[in-house]
Amino acid sequence: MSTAVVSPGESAQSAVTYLSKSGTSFDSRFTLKILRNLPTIRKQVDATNLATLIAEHYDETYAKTILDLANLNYSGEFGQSVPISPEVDAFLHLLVQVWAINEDGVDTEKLMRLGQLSVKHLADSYNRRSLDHFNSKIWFYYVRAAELSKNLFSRELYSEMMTAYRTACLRHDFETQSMLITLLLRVLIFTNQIGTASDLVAKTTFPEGNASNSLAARYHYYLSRINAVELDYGTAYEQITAAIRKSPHTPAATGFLQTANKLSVLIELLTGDIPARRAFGSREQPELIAPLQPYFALAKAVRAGDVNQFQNALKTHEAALKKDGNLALARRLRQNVIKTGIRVISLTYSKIPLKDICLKLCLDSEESAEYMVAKAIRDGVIDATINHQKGYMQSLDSSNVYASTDPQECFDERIKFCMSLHDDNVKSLRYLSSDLKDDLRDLQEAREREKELVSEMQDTSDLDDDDMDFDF
Amino acid sequence: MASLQKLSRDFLSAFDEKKYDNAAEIIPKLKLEFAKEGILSPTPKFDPDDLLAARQLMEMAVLVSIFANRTQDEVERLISEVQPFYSPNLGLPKSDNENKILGLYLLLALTNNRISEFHSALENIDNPEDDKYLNYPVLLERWLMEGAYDKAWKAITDTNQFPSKEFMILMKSSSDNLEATVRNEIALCLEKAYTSLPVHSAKYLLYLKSDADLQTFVAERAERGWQLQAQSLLFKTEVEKRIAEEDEEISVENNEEYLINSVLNYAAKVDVIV
Repeated sequence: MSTAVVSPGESAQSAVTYLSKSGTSFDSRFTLKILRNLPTIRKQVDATNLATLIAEHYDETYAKTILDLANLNYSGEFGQSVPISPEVDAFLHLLVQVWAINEDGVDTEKLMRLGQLSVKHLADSYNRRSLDHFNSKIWFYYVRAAELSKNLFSRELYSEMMTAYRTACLRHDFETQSMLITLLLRVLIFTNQIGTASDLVAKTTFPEGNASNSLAARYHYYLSRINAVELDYGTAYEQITAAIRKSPHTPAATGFLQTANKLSVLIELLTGDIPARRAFGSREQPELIAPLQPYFALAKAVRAGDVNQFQNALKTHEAALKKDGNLALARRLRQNVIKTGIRVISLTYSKIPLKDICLKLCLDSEESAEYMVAKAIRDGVIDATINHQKGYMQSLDSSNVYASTDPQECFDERIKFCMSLHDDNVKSLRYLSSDLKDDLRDLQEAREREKELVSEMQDTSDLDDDDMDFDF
Repeated sequence: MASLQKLSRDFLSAFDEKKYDNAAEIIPKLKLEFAKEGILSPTPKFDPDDLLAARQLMEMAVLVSIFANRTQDEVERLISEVQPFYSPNLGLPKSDNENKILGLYLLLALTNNRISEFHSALENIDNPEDDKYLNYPVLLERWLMEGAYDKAWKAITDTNQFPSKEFMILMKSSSDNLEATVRNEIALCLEKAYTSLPVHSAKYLLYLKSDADLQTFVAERAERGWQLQAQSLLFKTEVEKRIAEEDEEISVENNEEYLINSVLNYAAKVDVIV
């Protein structure tokens, strides 16, 4: 697409023409290109153009249903029902959905019905792999509309999704399949059915190699959340790191990255580590600073091992944490605060009376302190022994990590990671076609196309606009 | 429907007269009638009044089964059958007993050491601290996790601390109740944290009443290296075990073969790249 001024509607019209030509080629690259431009097309199209497009392509009854659901007015002539290519059909449905969801004043109930209609229409009419990407997006906007109209608890929606998921599996439609898994997880987590969500994960396989990165990022995010609730912090941390790495780092994905980073920080704290300072936003990622403020306060309290400071931070930021759906997780941090406190004491003093520990940690009784220290020793937080008769804790000499194989193992892990990264890159390279001469002639042209593509991708990305408000 | 009405009347009168065993007898019949109506899996299509009535009866069934000293499994099954009635898509007004039932469920999860289930359930609850029924299991869990066993012990043994009678009965009902769990946790901590303890302190820390109790307790853990000698309890082997483990690690560390293997591996890979 050129950067010249495009009249409203023209881009949508040209996309339609482009699609109907590409329909025969069965190459997903064409659909992908259209999808990448979708946010731009959406912004350029206006109500009249969109209505005309619909009226041109569908017979009167069907066109009227769509127009009504999308809150569009149309006074012109309705065209004859012309044979329409499946790709164009899917694209128009998607465009109407995207347009309506971004427009103010469209009834959310209607939006949901529009989604339902589109999903049903596509499922009943076609079975073509070239539609997979459209199908998956249409599902996304359908469920998003259901969420906006507060219909996520509905059993019907759930069973519709399940049926569609089964169909997608049978058809090897990986795009829709992975979209539906993430959507199902979102619905389940949103309605707090963590148990069911973890069952779903156990019973399904996410098409990791075939799914798009943004979907994989979301999937890992949800997995991380499930694991964190079920106290498996190690796995949760791995998953959230994968989610952040897979997510595109473009402005469109800011919402997702903020949410993912919040969870990441919290999980890291729960595993007993203190996140690096730059995890809370830095000059490179200024968009993280404000949203992560509450988590920064919590981390500071955990790092200091100060129970009172922690309780205060929790109280001050309660509303924000609740909005993120992280309050319950944050509450669990209390024990980490105490453990850190004990660890700091154990590192500072080689021998200290239990009474002093009790005072330093603001605990109620010496007895509690004794049990807590004992528990910390058992959990491997500190290496010490307690002398009950004399009432003191004695720290043991800390062992020298560099004398063990730990550094070697860490190093080994990192090398392996770099190697596999290199291998993956090599595998996903695209090579020039055998017609080398033609390619060379087109090289200059191709370079320019590449430049355009890069500038386009900076504006948009394969992650949706709506990920801006990705939160709970 | 007639038999359902009669059953529920009988059930309610038995409940009012505190004949819990009689009432508990009626529960299966009542559930059967409910199942015939299909109301056990509630959906918004049912009449709200019917749903409310069914919910109330099911809630009472949970309480009755606790008073009638039924097994924990049975109580838990009943609780899981009430829970669908709390789903927000039914649009029913909040039940007065909801928090109590949830609190009991949390307690059951905690007693059976199903911590992840406990936390999953907790995710659903907005402010557990504000409700006495919910606050109890939440505090209990916190104390257990922090290691404040003295507070936890007080909470499960001191009758005044229970938010209601049902909690107490449920707590005492099973053979492997929380008392045993807590004591076991303490024991695990002690063996790591101390090398030896005088008998009277050990008794005190483990909340055991007599020397004989302590002797049986220690005898059960003989293979973990617990032994009574003179007037003190020794965990010596624990330290020895640790040293032995470290020795073993060192022998693995010296495994040069591992190092050679991995370095050769890196070399091969770098060779492929270059």
